[in-house]
Amino acid sequence: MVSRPSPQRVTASGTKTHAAAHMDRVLISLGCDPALLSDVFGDLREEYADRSAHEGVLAARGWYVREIVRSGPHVVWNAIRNGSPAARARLAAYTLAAMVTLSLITIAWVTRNGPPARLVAGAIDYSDGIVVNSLRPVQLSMRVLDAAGHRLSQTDVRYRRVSGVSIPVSTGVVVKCKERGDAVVRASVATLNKDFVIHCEPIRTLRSAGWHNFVVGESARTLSVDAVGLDGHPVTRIAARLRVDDSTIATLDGDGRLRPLRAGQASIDVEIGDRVTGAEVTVFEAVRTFEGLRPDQRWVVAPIHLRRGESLRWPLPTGRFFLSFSADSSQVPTTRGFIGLFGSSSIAQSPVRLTVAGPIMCIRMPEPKPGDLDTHCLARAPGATVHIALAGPGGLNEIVGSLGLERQE
Amino acid sequence: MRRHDLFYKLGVMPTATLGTLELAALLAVARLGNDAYGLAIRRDLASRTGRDYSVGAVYTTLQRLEDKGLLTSRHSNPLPVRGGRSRRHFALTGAGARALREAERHAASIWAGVGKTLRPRLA
Repeated sequence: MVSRPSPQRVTASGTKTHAAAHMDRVLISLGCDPALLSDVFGDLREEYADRSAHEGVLAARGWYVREIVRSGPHVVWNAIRNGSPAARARLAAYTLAAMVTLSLITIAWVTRNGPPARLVAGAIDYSDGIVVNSLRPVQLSMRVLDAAGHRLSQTDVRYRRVSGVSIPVSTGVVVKCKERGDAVVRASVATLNKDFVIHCEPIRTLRSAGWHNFVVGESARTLSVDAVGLDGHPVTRIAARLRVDDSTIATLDGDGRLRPLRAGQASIDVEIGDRVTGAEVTVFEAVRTFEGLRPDQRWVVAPIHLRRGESLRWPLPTGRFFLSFSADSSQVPTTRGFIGLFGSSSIAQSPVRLTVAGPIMCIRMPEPKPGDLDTHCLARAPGATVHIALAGPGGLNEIVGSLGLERQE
Repeated sequence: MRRHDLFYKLGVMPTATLGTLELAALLAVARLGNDAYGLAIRRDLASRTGRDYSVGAVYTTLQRLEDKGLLTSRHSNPLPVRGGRSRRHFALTGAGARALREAERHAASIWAGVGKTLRPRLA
């Protein structure tokens, strides 16, 4: 190690400024080598004077700040290498404090609020208006945002109806739709005005969205609802709130499209305005036959393709289950219809004849549509079978469809 | 081709013990003689290499060279233009001069046999 001579210093009575002396003391207390500090700041000062004379004070100051930032890591590294444990601890504390301060300043800068710049109706920006399906008064939520999208807690927003159907608008932007039609409402805050359209589509009757059967892997389908307005005509402009009770079985996207995920059943709550209804979704697992079904395979569907004279015999599980046939291979059989009449061991109807045998009894239900079969069965012991055959002479030469089985707990 | 391009591409390859900036700083001190202090060395490096090294980087390098015994330094009287601080003048030690000669030999051995057309003319 080569010993370095200490730099000659000039006291405050000389040309060295108080600020520079203070900076030196702080950095030396953090472990910096006094000689290095004297050299670095001396060079910066000398070149700053030179640049000020040739390039101007502003340019020189910019250069000075840039050089301080660029030299900072070297000075810190020098302090880490040369400083005592106490000085290193002070350096760590200073660095942490600087980082925290910088982070707080950054957060404050990013999250600062500006003047009102945008009015947004509801949770999202309804560029094509707000749909009101309720007959009761509805509280609309208006949000005041600044240019950066920060929500302002300002509440002095004023509203008034500008045109369209007559709807009462209170100061708290509560609207009441008594008839079908559109109205334009103006919201004002400070110098900001925003007109938004309210589509009044009150619903008198909402019918159940019914049963929706899927096979695992099938593409999503739109969940349709049957809403009737005060005038008796269907309402097509709807703002609905949909909820699936088990989103591991099926999910709903923002457009009301239902996507099956795994075998099972789930309920869907449909809330439109002040009306509520429900729907059920059953997702079946595709299997080749009913042979070798595991106990956990509760919802299964198998393809059926029979030519005249051909038949199939498959074992059935014990317990209660629905057994349904659909002549359309592209559709899952509709299970769980309404119980109609008692059947015998023969539950056949054209074009397919279904016969059960063994320790089993079945109740036949009305066909969901012509050519389909739906039964509810109880197999009391192992050994029950179902026999599937194409109906006798005069019928079809072949049939393509699917047989669904829904086991009940 | 500019001088600093030659300097980098062909003339001065780092030796086993000296880094590129260390070697460049040693050469700058050798060139500047009695005027070899931090600001002058930094300007010399900038003009020859085309790179604007920070003040901290240059002094860290010079200090490292002094620690290795390749440079020695002395302080001038305090100067008003430096805010009352003194200049630190550097000079090559005997070990520093040997290191430069070794670096030159090293570069020459690397370039040996390349041919006159490719051989750089170090100014």
